Amino acid sequence: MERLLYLGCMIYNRFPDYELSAKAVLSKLGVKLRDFHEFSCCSSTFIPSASDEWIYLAAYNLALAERQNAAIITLCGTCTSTFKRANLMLQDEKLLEKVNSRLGEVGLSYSGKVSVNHLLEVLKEKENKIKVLVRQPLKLRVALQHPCNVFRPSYVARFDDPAKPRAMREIVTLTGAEIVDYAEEYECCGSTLLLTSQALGIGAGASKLASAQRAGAEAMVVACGNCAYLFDRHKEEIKKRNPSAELPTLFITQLLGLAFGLSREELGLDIRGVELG
Amino acid sequence: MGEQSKVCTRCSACTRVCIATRLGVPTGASVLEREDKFTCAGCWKCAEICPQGIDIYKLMMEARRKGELPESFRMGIRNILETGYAMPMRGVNAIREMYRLPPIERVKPEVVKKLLRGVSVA
Ligand code: SF4
Ligand code: SF4
Repeated sequence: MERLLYLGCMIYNRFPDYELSAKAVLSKLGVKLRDFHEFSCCSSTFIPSASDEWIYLAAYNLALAERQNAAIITLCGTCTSTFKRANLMLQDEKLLEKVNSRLGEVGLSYSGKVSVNHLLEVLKEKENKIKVLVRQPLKLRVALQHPCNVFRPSYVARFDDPAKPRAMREIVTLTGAEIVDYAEEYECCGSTLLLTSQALGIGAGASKLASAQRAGAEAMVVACGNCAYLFDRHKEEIKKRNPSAELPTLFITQLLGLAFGLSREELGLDIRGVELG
Repeated sequence: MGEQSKVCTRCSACTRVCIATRLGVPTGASVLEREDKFTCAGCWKCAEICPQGIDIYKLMMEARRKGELPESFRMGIRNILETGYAMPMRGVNAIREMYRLPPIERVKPEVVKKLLRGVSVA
């Protein structure tokens, strides 16, 4: 089955290099992707905080994928959880009917059955292929930021261990990069705190990056645009808060791409200006 | 909290794993008792750890819907209603071109407004 990347506003707006590197790596792994850019916002975190109508917007995106006869691969945490939650709730036939009556007004319908997986789930399935493709085992010490909403709430995510997820470690290990243990590894990045308090968000980011740097990391590997939004887009503010909290942010597909021998240009590292070691 | 306060034992398992609490946001014995329902990282460690199995996500969202939205949330919603996305999308295709990515077409605002007709930030 063909798959559509659900990019969402973080990636469109801030991190085209995540899209570029995800496409490059997934196509190497034999995942059939079709370019599709008619989706809207997934709805989170704004609409669910204001109204139960969020499910109409989530279902709209799922219905678009269904019309393309394709499954969805998400790249961020909250989009993943939002779509999975919608699918879970739409097992209720009454709700499905209600949602469909609204979708009908925009010429769509939805069965509740489009499969949604985060990038990490897809990469996990391709571990054997990844092993074969790694051409230059990386000499790099990295810290990992596990994307919360890919694993929690677990009754929605149904993937990995919600307290101490292993998927990212297992995938990154295949690149040869050394994964450092750091005290705050399983903490949330705190990016969403920026919405109501710049100071709290920056504080969370500074504390994380400093913790990773003390452990000897040379880069922070992420698998979510929202984590990158804090670590990369706010790096100056973070550095001001704590001068030793300075680490380049790498998307997991950029790390994989480097191990596959792809160029900085193919992974968008040149344009975002990511300098390693 | 009605029904839920019967179930919550105020054991503070949730506040012990809460990043907002750790960073100093005033929280009672439970994250559900926090006055500011929006200053939250959305990590849902609280929901995962609650020994009573309380659906903290659901209760938190319900509580938010009853309160006043902070300006950042209003802005996000305004963007979604007007452009289909929470973040500003102006200039996106020029940036995509730099990355050698194809241009995108945005969802029509009429569609989003129809789907979310009960949502307003007036
Ligand atoms: S973990 Fe659950 S039972 Fe304990 S204080 Fe928090 S909400 Fe209440
Ligand atoms: S979801 Fe919000 S309240 Fe719950 S632990 Fe995370 S930051 Fe705290």
